[in-house]
Amino acid sequence: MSKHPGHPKTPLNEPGRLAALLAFELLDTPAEAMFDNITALAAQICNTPIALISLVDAERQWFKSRVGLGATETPRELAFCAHAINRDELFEIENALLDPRFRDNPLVTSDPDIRFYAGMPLSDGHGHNLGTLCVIDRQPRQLNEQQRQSLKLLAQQTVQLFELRLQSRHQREQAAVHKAMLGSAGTAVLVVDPAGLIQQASLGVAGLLGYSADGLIGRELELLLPRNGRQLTRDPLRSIPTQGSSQNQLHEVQMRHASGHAVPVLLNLSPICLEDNLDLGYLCIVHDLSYREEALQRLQRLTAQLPGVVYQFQLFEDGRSCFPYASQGIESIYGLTPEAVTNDATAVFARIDPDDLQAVSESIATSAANLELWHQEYRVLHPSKGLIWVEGRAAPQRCPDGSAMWHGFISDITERKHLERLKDEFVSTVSHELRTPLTSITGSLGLINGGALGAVPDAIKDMLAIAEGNSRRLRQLIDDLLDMDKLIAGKMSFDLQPIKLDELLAECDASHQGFAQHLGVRLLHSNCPDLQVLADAQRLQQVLSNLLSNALKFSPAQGEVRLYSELEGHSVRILVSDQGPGIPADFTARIFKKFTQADASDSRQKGGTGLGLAISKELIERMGGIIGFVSEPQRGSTFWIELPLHHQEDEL
Amino acid sequence: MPDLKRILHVEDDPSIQAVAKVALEAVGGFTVLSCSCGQDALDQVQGFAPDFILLDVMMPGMDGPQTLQELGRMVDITQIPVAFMTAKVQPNEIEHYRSLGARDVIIKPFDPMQLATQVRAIWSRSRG
Repeated sequence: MSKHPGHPKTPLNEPGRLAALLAFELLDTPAEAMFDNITALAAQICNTPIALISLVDAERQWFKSRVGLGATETPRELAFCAHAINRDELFEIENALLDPRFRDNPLVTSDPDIRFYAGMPLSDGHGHNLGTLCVIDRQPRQLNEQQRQSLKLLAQQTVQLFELRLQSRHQREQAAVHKAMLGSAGTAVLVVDPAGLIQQASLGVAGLLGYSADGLIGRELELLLPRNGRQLTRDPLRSIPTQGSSQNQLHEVQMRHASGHAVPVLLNLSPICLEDNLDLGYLCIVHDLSYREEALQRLQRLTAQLPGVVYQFQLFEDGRSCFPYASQGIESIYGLTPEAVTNDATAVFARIDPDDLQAVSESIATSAANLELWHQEYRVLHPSKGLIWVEGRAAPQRCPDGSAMWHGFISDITERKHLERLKDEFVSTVSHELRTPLTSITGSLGLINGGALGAVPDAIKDMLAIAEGNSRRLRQLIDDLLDMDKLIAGKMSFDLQPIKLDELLAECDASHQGFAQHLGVRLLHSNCPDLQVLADAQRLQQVLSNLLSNALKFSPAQGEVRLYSELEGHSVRILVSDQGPGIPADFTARIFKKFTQADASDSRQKGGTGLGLAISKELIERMGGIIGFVSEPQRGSTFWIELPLHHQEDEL
Repeated sequence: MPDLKRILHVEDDPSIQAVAKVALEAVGGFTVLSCSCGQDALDQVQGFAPDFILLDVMMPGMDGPQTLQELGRMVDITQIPVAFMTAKVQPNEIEHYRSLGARDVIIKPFDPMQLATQVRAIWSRSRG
């Protein structure tokens, strides 16, 4: 079916044309006087009752301005303008009733009863006809040449107005964005001329400095500087490069609020340069730093509650160091103010006890190199407290400039050191003063019970045996307590050496045969492979002795205790098995804990202190080994220790 | 080879002194001279002419190591073996005692029934 001859053709560049139309942001906007003036002028010049600025979009023609017509839009297929935009010249219909394209158009056959139409396309200069400037009459007629020329000029003028309107709109948008940017909280922007007079000020000055923006125009920038700090801020102003450089300068300064108080700010100064004219003045962007001051004060209030100093320490690659932040507590540690060390840490190092200085410096260097947590105890010569002990801990991080920055704290541990010394002295006293008389008691009883002084009457013998047994037990308890104390304090030293396993086990076997016979238990020692383990001989013997005496004590008379070893990969497992009652299930989890025995009556019956296995576990683990056991109720237990093998080639 | 008969024992604690004396005399069959301080030992060492010297480490005034140094100036300790008796027996401590000229260390608390055997063993080793 062919289309009605009045149906307008679609321009070849329709998609681009529609996009251009939309880009002008005109459709469905309110009437504007500048366009209404154009249509009024067109109607007057052409002497027509109707004049329109018609924009043709995909579905309709929409009138941006109209004279003499009530409708705001009509369907595109009825629009005369939809025909006009297919041409580059004026489209003129003298009598629509005589034109087959329009004679049955509802706009012709009914209101507004169009007879005459003349439409000049509105071209955007890129070949897109957006619509027309058209004049319409209800009578058939023609335009004279002058009217046609005027209509063409008015159409060009209309498109220019479209463009200006769009530009102006963009400028207003940009201005709004700038205004929003400049008016943001905590920032003020000033334009200062080369003489130092304020030319422009953003609204932000009201919130930041207490002045109205208008009130500052024409005033000297100096007004905003505190009286004792004017020189400070003038210097940065003078230092601004003016020779074609757009480099910004940042300065932290104090500015003066209208009410007189100082406001900490970051001043960003940059010269305003317009091509070759380099001396237009300066742009000053003022950032509020009072939030930082508040944060600092909050931090100070918090750190004031802490013992010692909380700090940042920075070590530069050239060896310089400083404390960018130190709480007031630095006074209690080094007798220095935070300000004294902000840029240079030399004064701090001068206060460290010379005997400890090297260790402190080395530990800092190691921490910086490996970015490992720094932890050090050292002495400080405090100007008022004298020699004090301090403990520092800090976590390092690498800064972009290659320096290392630590965040940490140092506390005074003089009191703790004093207590530690007292405890050490106490332990030493216990060790010597308690053990010495016990040595005599045990020794005396041993001599008597051993028959060195002749026969002892039976009635006395039993009592003396009890006395000797208990004095040995007391001595063992003291030894265990001292061992445990040394282990907990990390003060027990280990001399790890290769030990021949067969000799060690033979020695243990030999030294426990007497006790085994005394209890009527058989102690069996299997031959051991020719191996070496890496351990402290004395401590390993102590552990094996503990395991063997436990096994013997808990064995039934006529029972058997076996001492043997097994190779386990790169380790050796030494095992002690007995035929005792086994470990109760509810005790297995606690067996290596301090002061534990399965049955409270055991310590009295079996003479243990409840520390032996706890000490054994610590000792074995400090020697790089592990300890464990397997047990079956009423069938016995096997305790084992595993130690790393020592290979001959390890010595090479 | 001369026999081990005479032992000089230096110990400030009278109880331990007594126990050791009994242990060495009654069990070991030696002749023991007990001295209660370093100076006492220096005063008597030449008169007593010991075959072996047993020295406590921690003593008031002159301690064991100092006594050993002084004794070394008066008698030939390469011929008269010296052993310390002490509870301070960390490996580095034992190393230190040996560097001073001691032949061995007997650990306190000692077993009085075994003391004479221990002393004889050290004496034999030192005689090579």
